[in-house]
Amino acid sequence: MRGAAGPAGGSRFRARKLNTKTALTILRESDVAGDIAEHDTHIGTERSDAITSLPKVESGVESKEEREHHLQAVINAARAAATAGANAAQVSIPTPDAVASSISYDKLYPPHFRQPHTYIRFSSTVEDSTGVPYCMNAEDDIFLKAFNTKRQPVQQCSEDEFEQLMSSYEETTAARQPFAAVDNTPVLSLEEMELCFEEHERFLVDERARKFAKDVYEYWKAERGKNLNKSLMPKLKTLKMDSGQEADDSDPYVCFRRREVRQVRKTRGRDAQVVEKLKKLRKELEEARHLLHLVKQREYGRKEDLELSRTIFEQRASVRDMKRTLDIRDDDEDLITQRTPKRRPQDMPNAANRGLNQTRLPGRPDSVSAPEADLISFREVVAQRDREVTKSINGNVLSHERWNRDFIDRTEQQLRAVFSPEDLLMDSDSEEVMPAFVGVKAEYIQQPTPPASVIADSNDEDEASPIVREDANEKIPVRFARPSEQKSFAREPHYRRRTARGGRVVLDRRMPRMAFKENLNDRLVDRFKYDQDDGDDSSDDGVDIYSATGFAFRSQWASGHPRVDPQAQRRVPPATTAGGDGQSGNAAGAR
Amino acid sequence: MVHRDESHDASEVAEPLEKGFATLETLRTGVKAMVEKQGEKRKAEILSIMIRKGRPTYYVHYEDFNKRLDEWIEGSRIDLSQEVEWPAPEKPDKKDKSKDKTSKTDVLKDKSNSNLKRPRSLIDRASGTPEASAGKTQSRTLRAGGKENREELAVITTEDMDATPQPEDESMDIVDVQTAAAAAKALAPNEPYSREEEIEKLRTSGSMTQNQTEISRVRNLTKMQMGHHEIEPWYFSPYPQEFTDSDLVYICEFCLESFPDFKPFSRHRAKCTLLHPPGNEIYRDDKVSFFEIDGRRQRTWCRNLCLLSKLFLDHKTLYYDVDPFLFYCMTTRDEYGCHLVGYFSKEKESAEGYNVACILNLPQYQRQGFGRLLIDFSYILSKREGKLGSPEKPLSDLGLLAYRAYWQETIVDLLLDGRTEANVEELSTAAAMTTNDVLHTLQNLNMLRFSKNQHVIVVTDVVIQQRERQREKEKIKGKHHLRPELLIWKPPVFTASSRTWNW
Repeated sequence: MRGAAGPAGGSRFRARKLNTKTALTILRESDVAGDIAEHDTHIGTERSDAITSLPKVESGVESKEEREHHLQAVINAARAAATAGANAAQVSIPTPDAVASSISYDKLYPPHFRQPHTYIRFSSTVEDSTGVPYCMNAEDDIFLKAFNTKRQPVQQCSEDEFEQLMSSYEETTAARQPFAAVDNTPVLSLEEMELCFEEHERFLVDERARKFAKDVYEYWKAERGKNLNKSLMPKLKTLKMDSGQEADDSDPYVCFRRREVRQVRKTRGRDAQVVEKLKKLRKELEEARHLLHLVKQREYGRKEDLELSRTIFEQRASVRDMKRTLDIRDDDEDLITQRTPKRRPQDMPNAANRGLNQTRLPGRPDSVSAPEADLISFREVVAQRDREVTKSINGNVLSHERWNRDFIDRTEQQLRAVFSPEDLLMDSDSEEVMPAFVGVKAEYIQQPTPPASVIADSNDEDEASPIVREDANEKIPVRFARPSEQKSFAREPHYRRRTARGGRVVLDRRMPRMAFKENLNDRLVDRFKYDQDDGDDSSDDGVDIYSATGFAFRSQWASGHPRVDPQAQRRVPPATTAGGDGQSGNAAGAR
Repeated sequence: MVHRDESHDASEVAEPLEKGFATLETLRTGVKAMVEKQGEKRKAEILSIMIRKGRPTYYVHYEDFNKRLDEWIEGSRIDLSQEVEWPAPEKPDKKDKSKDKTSKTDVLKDKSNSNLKRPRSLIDRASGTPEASAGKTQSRTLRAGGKENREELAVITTEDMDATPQPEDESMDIVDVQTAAAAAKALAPNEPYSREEEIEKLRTSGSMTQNQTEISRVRNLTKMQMGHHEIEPWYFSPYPQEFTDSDLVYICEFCLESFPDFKPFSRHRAKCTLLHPPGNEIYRDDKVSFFEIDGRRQRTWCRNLCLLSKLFLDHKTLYYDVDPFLFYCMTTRDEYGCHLVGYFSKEKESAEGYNVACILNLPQYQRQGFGRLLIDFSYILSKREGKLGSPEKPLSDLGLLAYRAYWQETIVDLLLDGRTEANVEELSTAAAMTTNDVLHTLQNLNMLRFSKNQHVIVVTDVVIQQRERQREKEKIKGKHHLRPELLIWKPPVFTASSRTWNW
C-alpha cells in the first residue's frame, strides 16, 4: 500500500505500507487544519496523482463498464460531493421503466393471505402448490367452448377436467417418449394413454373427466401434430438430449445444467482411493466378524462343557446315593469329580522341585480331553524306570535273604543286605571318581552272589602295592558301601580294591588316624592327613587280633552257631567298632 | 465495448476507416451510425435487424451507455444524413499495420483495461465475421516479429490490436495496468479455451460470467407483467424460446412461473396456492420479511427466480443449476401475500469468501431504499456467521453505487461513534466487511491520508455534512432499519453428502 503526501514542493515519496492492524488516528478535518491545506492543494492540483498514488482498489465493476457514461456521471457527482462538498445534484443511472400494470390484480390474486403469528416455515415445492401443470391457452379455450356448446350443461367439460386430460397426455408422452420431438415416434394411442391414467399421480385423471378422454385426445393429437410433436407446454431448455456438449454450450437457451455430470471426472482419482479404503474396511470388518464368530463358538463349547460337567456330577451323586442305599463299599474312586491325571508318578519327590508342572501352559482348565493326556511324559517314563529298578532291587533283596537264610553272617560288621536307592544312584554317579577310597564294611562271610558293584580298575597296575593273590576258589564276599554322609567317616578304615598286574586283586587300606580329635579344625586335619605311615602297615593284616570284638567274632565263628537274625546281622552298631577308641584300626579280611 | 472502436478511430487517424453514406436498405449489422436518443444524437452500433410489420427495425447499442439501454428503433431515428462506419472487413495486413502503431505504452494500458472484456466477440457475433480467428493468427505473427517491444507487451497488445487509448485513459495508473496485464495473461488468448475455463470455474463456484458471448446477447423479451407492474427487461434471459414471440410475458408473483399469454396465466392463477416464497421465514419486522430458500430443495422456484433476475443482471450466468446456492428473498406483506421485492443468492460454500453471489432489487421496487436493506441483511447474516463478506465480482454499475453508499454510511457511522483511533481490521470486523472493501471506502472518500509520516483517517467535513443531511432526511421520511435481533437464523451447515444428495 502506498500513500502519498506532498509536503512543500510537491515532491512525492513512497510512504510505508499501510498495515491493516496498526491503529490509525481518527481526526476531524477541523482538527488538522494545517495539514488540510496541503492536502487540499494536493488534491486540487494533482488530482490524478493523488488518486493513482494511493493503492488502487478494484471497484469490482468491469473496467470497461466502469467507464460507461452514466456510471461515470454518478461517480463523479458523488466524488464531488464527498470531496468538494458540492451539493450533489441528484444524478442517477437511467433504467428502463417499470410501470403500473393494467391487469385486474384483485381477480388474479385473491386477498387470501393471513399472516401467521410465528415465522413461516414452508417446504412444499412449486409443483406441489400449483396443481395441474397444464394451463389452457387461448386456442384450447376456443376448442373447449365450441366443444361445450354442443352439450348439456351437466355434460360439459370443465376447464379443470380439460387441463387434467391434457396434462396427463403431455406427462405420459414426456415420460414414455422423451425424444418424441426428434425421433418421429408415433404418438401414443388413446388406449395407451388411458392405461396410464391410474399409473402415476401425475397422469391421474378424475373419473368424470374420462368421459372426455377421447375428444380431448383427438384435439391434443392435432395440436401436437401442429407443434411438430413437441411439448405443448413451454419448457425451459435445461438439457438437450439429442445433441452433444458443444451444441449445448453454444445454445444460449440451454440453462441450469447439472453439475454432477462432470464432477465424476474430477473425482476419479479420489474414487480409487475411496474404493481401496472401502475394500480395506470391509476386510477388517469381516475379520472382526470372524473373530466374534469364533468367540461365540468357544462360549458355546464352554457352556456345553459346563452342562456335561454338571451332568457327570449329578450322575456321580446319584451313583453315590445308589451305593449308599445298596450299601456297596469300595473306594470312592468314581466319585471324584475333578480327577487328576491317573498316571501321575507317585514316587518322584523331586518332581515338584524340578518344575515340571510349571512348564505346562495354563489355560483350558476345563478341557474335556486334553491331547496331552494321551502322551507319555518324560517324567512318567523316568518314574516307570525307577519303579522297575526299585522293584528288581527289592526282588534281589528278597532272593538274597532267601539265599542267605541258612547262612550266618559272622563278619564283624555285618553286611547290609539292602542298598538304599540313593546309594545306588549316587554310586552310579560317582563311577568316574574312582580313585577315591571307599568306606568298606567287610565281613568274613560267604555270600553266593557276587558283589553287585565290584569296581575293577585295571589302570592302576603301576601302583606299587602289596600283591594279593586272588584265589578263585575262595569266595570272599566283599561289599562296598559308601560311607554314610551323615556321620564322619574319617575314623573308619578305608579300603580300596583294585585289580593289579597279572589279574591280582589288591586291596588298599587306609586306617583311621591314631590321634583323631573331633575338635581339630579342618585345617589341622588336613595337615596331618597323610602324616601317618599307613602304607607301612600293608603287611599287617589289619585285624586287631586283640580287640574284644575280634575275640567275640572268632569265638562265634568257631562255635558254629550262626546268627540267623538278619536284623542283628545287619545291625552292627558302629559303636561296637568305634567304641574302642584305643583301637588302632579295624581289620578287614582280604582273604 | 463499442467505444473501443471509436477510440481506435480517434487515435489512428492514419487508419482509413471505411465510412460512407448509407440508406436504410444498405444498413447491416455492425454498422455504426448516429442515432437520435432523447433529443441528442449518439453513436450506436446496429446489432440486429428485424422486419416487423413489414418495416425493418434495428436493435442498437449506444456507445458508452449500458446495455440495458439497448433498444429496438425505427429506421427513422437513424441519421442517414451523416456518414456511417462500416464494419471493418478482416484484412490481416491492415491489422499488422495497426499493431505497429498501437504498440505503445498507452495502448498497453488501454489494452489491459479492455482485455478482460473481449469486446470483439460482440462485434463478431453481430457481424458474423470470423475476426477472432484473424486476431489469433495475427498475434502469432506479432510474437514472431517481436520488434520494438518486449515480447510480452507485444503479446498483450495484439489481443486488442485495434484498441487504442481514450483520452480519459491517460489517468490510468500504471499499477492497474500491471494487474490487468497479469489478468490478461491468465486468460487464454483464444476464446473457446477461456470459455471452457470459465465454465469449469462456474461449475465449482460463482454465478457471474465474464464471457462476452453470454453477455452480448440481444434482449429477447419485450415486456414482463408481474404483480402490479409491467417491467421492461434489461438483458437477455433464457426463458423458453416460444416467449420471444410474446409481447407481454406474465409472471406469477408468488411462484414466479412464466406464461406467454394471459389465458394460461389466468388459469394458473386459479390453481396456484403459493402466497409467499416457498421457504422458511427467517426475519420479520413491520415492513419486510426475509425467506431463506435452498436452491436444491426448491429447484423450480429458484430457477424461475434466476430466470427473472437474469433479465436485470447482465453478468449473471444460468449455465449451471441453482443447487449450490441459498436464496434470501425480501418481501413486503399485505393481504394478498408476501410480494417479492428483491433477493440475493449466496453460495452454500464460497471459496472466495463471498457473502453475496447475485443481488437484485426488482426494478419496480428500485429507488425506495430496498437495495440498502438487502445489502444490510447480507452483512447481518455474515455477522451472525462470524465471517467477513464481500459481494461476488463483477459488480454491476448499480450494484457498485448501492454498495458504495452502504459502505460509506457504515464506515462513517463507525468512525463517528466517538472512537479516537481505529485500525482497518477493527472496522472490517465491526462491519463484517472485508478489509479491502474498508480500504476502498476510505480511499474513495479521500479519508485515508498520510500525515507526519504516518497514516491517519481524516473524517472530512463534507462527509459529516453529507451524513447529517442524510440523517435529517431519514427522520423526515422515516427510514427503515433492519433489526438484527429479529433474525431467527442459524447458519445452515451443509455436509458434502447433503450438498450432493440432499440428505
